[in-house]
Amino acid sequence: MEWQDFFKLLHVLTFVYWVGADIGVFYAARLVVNPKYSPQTRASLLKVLDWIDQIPRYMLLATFPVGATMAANLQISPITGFWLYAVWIVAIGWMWVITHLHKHHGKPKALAQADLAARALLIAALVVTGIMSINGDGPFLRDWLGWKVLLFGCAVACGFGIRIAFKPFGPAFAQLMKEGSSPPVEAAMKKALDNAVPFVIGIWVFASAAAFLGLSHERLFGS
Amino acid sequence: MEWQAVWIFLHVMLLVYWLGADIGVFYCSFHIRRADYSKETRLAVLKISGFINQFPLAVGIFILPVGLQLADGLGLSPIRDEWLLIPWVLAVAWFLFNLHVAKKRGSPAGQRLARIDIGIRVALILVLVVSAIWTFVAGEPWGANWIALKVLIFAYVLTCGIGIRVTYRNAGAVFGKLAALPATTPELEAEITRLTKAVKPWVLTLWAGLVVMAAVGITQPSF
Repeated sequence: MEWQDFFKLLHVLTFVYWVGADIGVFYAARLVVNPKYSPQTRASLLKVLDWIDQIPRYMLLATFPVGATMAANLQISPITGFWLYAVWIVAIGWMWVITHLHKHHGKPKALAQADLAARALLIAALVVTGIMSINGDGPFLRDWLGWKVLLFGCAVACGFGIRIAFKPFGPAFAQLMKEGSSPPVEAAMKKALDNAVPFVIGIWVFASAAAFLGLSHERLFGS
Repeated sequence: MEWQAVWIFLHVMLLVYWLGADIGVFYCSFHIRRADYSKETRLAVLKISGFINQFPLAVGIFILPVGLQLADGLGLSPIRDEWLLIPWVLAVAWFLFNLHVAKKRGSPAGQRLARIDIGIRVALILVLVVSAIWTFVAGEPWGANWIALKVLIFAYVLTCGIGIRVTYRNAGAVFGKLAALPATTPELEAEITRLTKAVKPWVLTLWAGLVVMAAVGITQPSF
């Protein structure tokens, strides 16, 4: 197996575990906001959900260095040599950060805020470089890669949107555990989840569109 | 419209909802056997697992006609043009039959239907294995050895699926007992642990088969 094929397989697998694992998270979340279940059960389900959700979180971070390596091999990306190593190191470091945040329930807060800020920066970089590349101004040397970068940026932005939309869920769930179920608490949790759903679907659509381009760019763009 | 691009994309999406979704089922199995959880929690985890598991079950059926479409697009399939309608009709019929089997699960009729389903799978495995080996020997019916290799590995994946079904054949009764009994018993816990552990080798080797199939599809080795 050639290295490029190996990275192609990895790229497919990161997509597989990103979008595929999400279906479990999506369904489990519905049970967590179901008042039919006791708070203890919902707390346990939240743990199950949170663990499964780690997989898409890792895959989102892993797919970029894998894709960047493939683009470097095709000589259509400016991220080569030292910068490519740097991308890998940052991605692995970032995975460590999200592992730490997962283990310590989002603590320390400064690290969680840094993670969010880094995502905002990444989104801006992806969207700007994607649009520039589609317009033929580089840094990526193919239209389809510009589109892929832009779509990936949109998927990461949806992930950012989930964090914002889901924020009221935490305090509402803490109140559920402390005081038990009540209509306002149930409504707050359900509202937070409902608000996050369009962003979840957005991730699936953008990531799938990026995969479609990646799989068929030669047929669709001729390169 | 570039149909081959659509089929490639669909083929990968089916892998997403097979391999990617399955990780959720796998993780849930660790929680289902946790005796320290309440019955309500374990049944809720079982519900999540059951929901996610519908995706791999459906995908395992439809991946074959989609693969045949792809192979036809490459000129490597013996089933061509309008003849492709036959595998599609059979796949839809098999899928509906599987829905019926799932509906009847736990009843004597369900057990009989499940045996018929396994019979269909065994017949399909035989057809796939013979056609693959014949291709290695005589160069037909598949137009390339790498397609024949994928067919052979798919037969292996289906065999793992049968292994899962046979190992898990009493799962309905065991989890039914968990739901029905006022409190769990050491015997029941031992049975749940035995079942969830016994099924793992089949699941892990099935995943390995899917990854190898993806690798063969990407590299398309000539031999």
